[in-house]
Amino acid sequence: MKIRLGFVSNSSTSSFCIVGFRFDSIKTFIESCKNKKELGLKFDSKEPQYEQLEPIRNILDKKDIATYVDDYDDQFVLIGKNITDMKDSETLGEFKSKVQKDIEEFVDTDKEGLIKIFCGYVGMGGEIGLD
Amino acid sequence: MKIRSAFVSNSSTSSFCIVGFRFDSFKEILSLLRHEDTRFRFDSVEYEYGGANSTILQEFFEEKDFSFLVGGYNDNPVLIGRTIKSMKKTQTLQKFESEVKSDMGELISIGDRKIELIVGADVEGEIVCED
Repeated sequence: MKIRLGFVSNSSTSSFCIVGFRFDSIKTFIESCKNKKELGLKFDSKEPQYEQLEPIRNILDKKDIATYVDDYDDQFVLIGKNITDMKDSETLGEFKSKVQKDIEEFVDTDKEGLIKIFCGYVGMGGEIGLD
Repeated sequence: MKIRSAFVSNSSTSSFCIVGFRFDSFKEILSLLRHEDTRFRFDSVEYEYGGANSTILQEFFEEKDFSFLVGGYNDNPVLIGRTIKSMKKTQTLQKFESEVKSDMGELISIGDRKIELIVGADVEGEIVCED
């Protein structure tokens, strides 16, 4: 069967499934980041908000923690680990605990509720659609 | 090649993350069904995009909590599986896969087909799966 795998250069939509947290705004996310001073993270509504996340995103990328930022109206932030990183022998609960621990090394998640599975896509306009 | 979700005619985009199987064609599904339901006794009936037969088949699987995504073009590849969001906290991925395989096996002959974690999006009717 021919199923198109991955994303070719003329496609600008990609899909994802992560276990993690949702922050309602870029401002909320930045305020929840630890070591803000060292990273030079400071929310400034006059500056392009997406670019302000680059320092923390670079660090999280190195730890295999994905961040998805809705670059449309809502500008919410999703942060988490890909569901495919879960080991076969690991329970979903164990994986969630591990992901939460990894994230909390960099971001305070106390106010964000329970860790969840987020399935979604990044559309052509940078918008994120959630299942 | 394009894979089209059988029953979506508008320009909406949605995403999915399922544990399940890929099948070569709509006809293959019909040939593998274990169910004795007379609705599926239509060996010589040609599949038509969005036709009554596909609706019946989709309903049949959805009644058992399976997602059903079918290609709408020539060879109609089909994805059938259960959303990752129905996985229990105490389950391992292996156990969830076994449960899906067992439940699917009651409806359809699985044989030595490989069960997979499939992440993808339905982009305006075209289904694209991640690697």
